[in-house]
Amino acid sequence: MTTTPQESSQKISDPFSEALDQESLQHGLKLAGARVYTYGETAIVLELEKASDSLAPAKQQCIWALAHLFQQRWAEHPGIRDIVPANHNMTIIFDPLSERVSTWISKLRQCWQDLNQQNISTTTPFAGARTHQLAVAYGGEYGPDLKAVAQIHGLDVEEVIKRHSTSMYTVAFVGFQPGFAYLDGLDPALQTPRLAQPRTRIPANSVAIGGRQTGIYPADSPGGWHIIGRYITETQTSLFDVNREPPSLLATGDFVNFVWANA
Amino acid sequence: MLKVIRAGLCSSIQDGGRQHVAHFGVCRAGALDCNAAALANCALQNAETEACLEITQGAFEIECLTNCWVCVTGQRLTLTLSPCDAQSNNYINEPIHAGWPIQLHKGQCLSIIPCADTGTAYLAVAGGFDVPVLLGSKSTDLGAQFGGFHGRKLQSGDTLALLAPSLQQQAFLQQRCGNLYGLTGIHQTPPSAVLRALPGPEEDKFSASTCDMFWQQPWQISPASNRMGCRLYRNTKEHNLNNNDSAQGIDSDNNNAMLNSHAIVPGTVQLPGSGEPIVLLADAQTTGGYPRIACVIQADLWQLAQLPSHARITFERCTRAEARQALKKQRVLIYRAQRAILHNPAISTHNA
Repeated sequence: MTTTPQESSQKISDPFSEALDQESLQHGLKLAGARVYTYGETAIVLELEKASDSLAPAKQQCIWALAHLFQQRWAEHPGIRDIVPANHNMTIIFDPLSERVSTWISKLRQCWQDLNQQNISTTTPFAGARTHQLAVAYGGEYGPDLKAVAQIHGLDVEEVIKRHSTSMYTVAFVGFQPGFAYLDGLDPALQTPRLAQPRTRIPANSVAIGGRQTGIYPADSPGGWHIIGRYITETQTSLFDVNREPPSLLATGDFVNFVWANA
Repeated sequence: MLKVIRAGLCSSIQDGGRQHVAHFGVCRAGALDCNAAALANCALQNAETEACLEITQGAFEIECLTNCWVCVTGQRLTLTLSPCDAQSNNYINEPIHAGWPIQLHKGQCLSIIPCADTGTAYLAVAGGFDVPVLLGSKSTDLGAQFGGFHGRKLQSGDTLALLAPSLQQQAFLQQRCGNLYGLTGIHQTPPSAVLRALPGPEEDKFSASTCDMFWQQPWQISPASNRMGCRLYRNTKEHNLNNNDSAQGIDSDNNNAMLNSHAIVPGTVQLPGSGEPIVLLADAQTTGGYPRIACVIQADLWQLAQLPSHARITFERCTRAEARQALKKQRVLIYRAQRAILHNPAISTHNA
């Protein structure tokens, strides 16, 4: 592998870091309970082991804590672009000319180790978590996929709505589009694979199901989830407002309840 | 002030984009071709990441309501400047070129006339556009409809307020613009059809034949591409001998089903179930769940903004070290252009 003169002059004694310079790094390096891999030249990802298993909230809690810790330590670093917690993983996006990728991985590994020693409580809610009751109009013109979802699972439409609106959800993370909260806690009977070909336009405030999660699209966008209803904006706070601090209504770790408003 | 006479199909205000907001789900936005935008700003001695008009598809025309300096960059552009009615007749016949500062007088109209393979153009104005800075940037977030000019594409009739250039900038531009020999233009590298890319995190989840198909054969840029992503396709006719009209992607090995959502960076090449890859661009969602077969390196991403629809591209596997070198080289070129324009007024940095 070729290195710049600058790079080769920096001797790294840590065997872990040396291993990072191999192109094979993209296959990932093991940490306790997690794996770190590079993502392009601008990002590294920490992913929890067995991330494809059922979404245990405790595991997601580790990601929240890691994101929080990394943010505290490194958000001010000029090379950092973004710190993005997602589904059982966290991505750090940086300027590739700021520091070597191995340096970023070492920083991340340090946070992860420190966190493991702290013995994070997996039962207490995330600091500052709020509870939201969100009114939703299900089906009809607002939920064009509701019938299809019911059919896929052999349930009647009403049952789908009942199951969807009686669960307690947690905001696993916010992503995809401004203020879009990925909600964990979907009834297993409603879990539906994403569409193979995403729709080019889903109307704003659509409530949808994708895989093991549910969520609300705050703005018009393309998307691959099944639309089952519409968040009622006339009487409720907007999901995202750029002039509000913070701009997103739903934040990582919050609790969410849906209320069937057109029953 | 500048008034939009013809807006083109998708013109918007874009700067260097947003950061530290991806965890709210806010995309990066910003210029698709950061280099072209930076060079337009350089020519006017603006900050490199000052907001520009990003102009894609269709004829674009602005009318100058108050005197100002502008610079347009982009590939294969034809610019025309209508004569101004009043005193400054000496400007009428001056050639107007991309990459050079242009002084606009009140009443003059500047047109960007696209040809079949015109890429994305950037119009910078000395001092910058007077639009609010939201979440750290002036960029238009077209999906979430905020930022830039009222959070939307420009329309004919829009009037854009400008910020005054600094005194040094004014002195610099006055000195250059009245004197042809004092002008300094900027050369722009034409886009290459080869995009260097690193293997994506999920590359090993695809079969060897899928990977071969992806890396070894050319793709074409779909006209359905936008600021979120550049969609790619292949035409069956040209690859298979069965006379099938439908576009055909590659078998994505049913990997689309249930991948955990993860953060997304621009340049990521997703391969969804349809088998037709999407190269995610500046307006891409912040997280997604489709398998990532490759990541186009940052230094080559601008080319997708400059290649026309249906252009053929191929991906070339490279290393992280090569990606780093390419990006470094690009930043040095912009730095050099800045220095050259500032310190060597009589000699053009490159032959524009």
